[in-house]
Amino acid sequence: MIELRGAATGYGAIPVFENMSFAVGKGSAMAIAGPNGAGKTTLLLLMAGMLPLWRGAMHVAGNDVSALGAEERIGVGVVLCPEGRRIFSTLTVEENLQLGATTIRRSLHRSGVRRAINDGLEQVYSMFPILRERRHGSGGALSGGQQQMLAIGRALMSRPAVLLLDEPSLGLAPLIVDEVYAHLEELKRSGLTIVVVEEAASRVMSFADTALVLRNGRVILQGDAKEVSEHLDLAKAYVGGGAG
Amino acid sequence: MMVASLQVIVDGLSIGSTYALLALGLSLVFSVMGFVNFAYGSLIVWAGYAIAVTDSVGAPYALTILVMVVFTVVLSIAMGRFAFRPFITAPPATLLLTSFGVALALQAVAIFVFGEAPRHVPTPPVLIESVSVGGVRISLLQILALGLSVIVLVALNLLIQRTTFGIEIRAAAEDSKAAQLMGVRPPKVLLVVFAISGVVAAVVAFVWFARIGTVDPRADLTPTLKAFIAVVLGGLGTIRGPVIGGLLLGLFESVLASFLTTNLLAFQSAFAFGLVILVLILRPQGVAGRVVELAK
Repeated sequence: MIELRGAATGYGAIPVFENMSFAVGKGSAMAIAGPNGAGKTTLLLLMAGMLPLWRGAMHVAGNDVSALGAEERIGVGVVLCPEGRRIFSTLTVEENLQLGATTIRRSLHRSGVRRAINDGLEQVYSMFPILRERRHGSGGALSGGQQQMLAIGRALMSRPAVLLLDEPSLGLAPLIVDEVYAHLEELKRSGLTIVVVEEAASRVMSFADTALVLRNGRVILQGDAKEVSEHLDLAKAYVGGGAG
Repeated sequence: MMVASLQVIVDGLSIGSTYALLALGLSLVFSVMGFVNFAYGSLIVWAGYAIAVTDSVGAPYALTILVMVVFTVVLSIAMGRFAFRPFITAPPATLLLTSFGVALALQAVAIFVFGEAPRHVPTPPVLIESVSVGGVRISLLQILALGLSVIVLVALNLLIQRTTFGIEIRAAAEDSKAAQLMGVRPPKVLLVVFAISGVVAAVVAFVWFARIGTVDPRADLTPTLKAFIAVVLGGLGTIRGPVIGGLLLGLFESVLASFLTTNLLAFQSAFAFGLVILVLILRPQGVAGRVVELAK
């Protein structure tokens, strides 16, 4: 579904990674783990079109999307739930969701837009009933867990094929983290391709099918999530952690 | 006494409503771009010249106003496109300095083209003749100023609060990067905001020049400062703040004008700035604003 081949990017003239390759199949999930500063967020920003591809290529559903910017990436179905959720507190919950449909609004005709947005809202509200209850309240007034639901719902409003999540469990209580992952599980079963970055690897590894462990912009482990997870546990046991 | 205080209130509200619009135009760009556009008054000055020049070729008044509105909106968009959009990712302090540069450049061009001497900006006498309503003197222009301000405010409020484009503007104002991740195009939002700010400037210019009747190249300072004072009084970051600040400033000036003797009246601006200093000491976020930084 989504594939990177020999990708390189960075900030200014400073490279973060030079040669990144992986593929995630339709309806499957990949975890990206690694310590702080490993390049996890950079990788997601690159996939979301917020950073330019220096070398290499990115394909979505077989199409080369390397040259597309952030807005067009959403158009081809790749959407990012950013780190810290970045909910708009000056917008209501429902306005946050409507903002997620910005590209839908541009791509369809008037009558189709209303239906698409109403369908989208209905889908999000039936998945996260709490958002329906709070739809006229400020997005900033939600709890951390509710904000994460809103961030996911907002991303779903663009009808993505690939959902990128940056630290969805950050700052959430373990019970809420489980709830978030239960919803991600549901989305994966419905055919969505998911890429999740987590610094704390344990929870995401049981969710993901494949995994990538980064350190200093290099892939140090890659493969089946279960095996990667076991390697990480071994590394922790013998080296005292550090690999994530 | 009753009539006298009513007169002060009518005069204050009518000039205050103009200040409110000026402040709103300034704060609109601020809330999206994060900087105070000191070239805002230049739009007013050039709008004045647009009326004067169109009039000098013999056009009827209504046409001069129409030309002025179109010209001001185009100039505002051009300002956004060529002076500010190239720096859209730069820190707001860069944009603040750019706005000073734009103000100076537009002033220099005005001096070069039109000379230093003030030019007459025509106004139909019917607009400025006062009629007495129960002893309170009021002109058609004052009623227009109030009415236009209310229309612009209501329209702007609907646009920002009730339309999907308003959602995009508010999102871009709060967190431009996150808005981009949702598919918002910040450069487009910038241009539309400058266009709206141009419309507001054109409405202000109409009332402004009908009242004072002349324009000169250095006349940009007064509207910019009035807008700035109103914004500081009322507070930035909301629609309500600049409007309340503008009305307060208008009432304050009107009260001063009725109490001060002629030789003290020359210091009217000093009193206004005194008020600003007082507000900054006592309530730095303004009467109805949020806490923001000049270049956030």
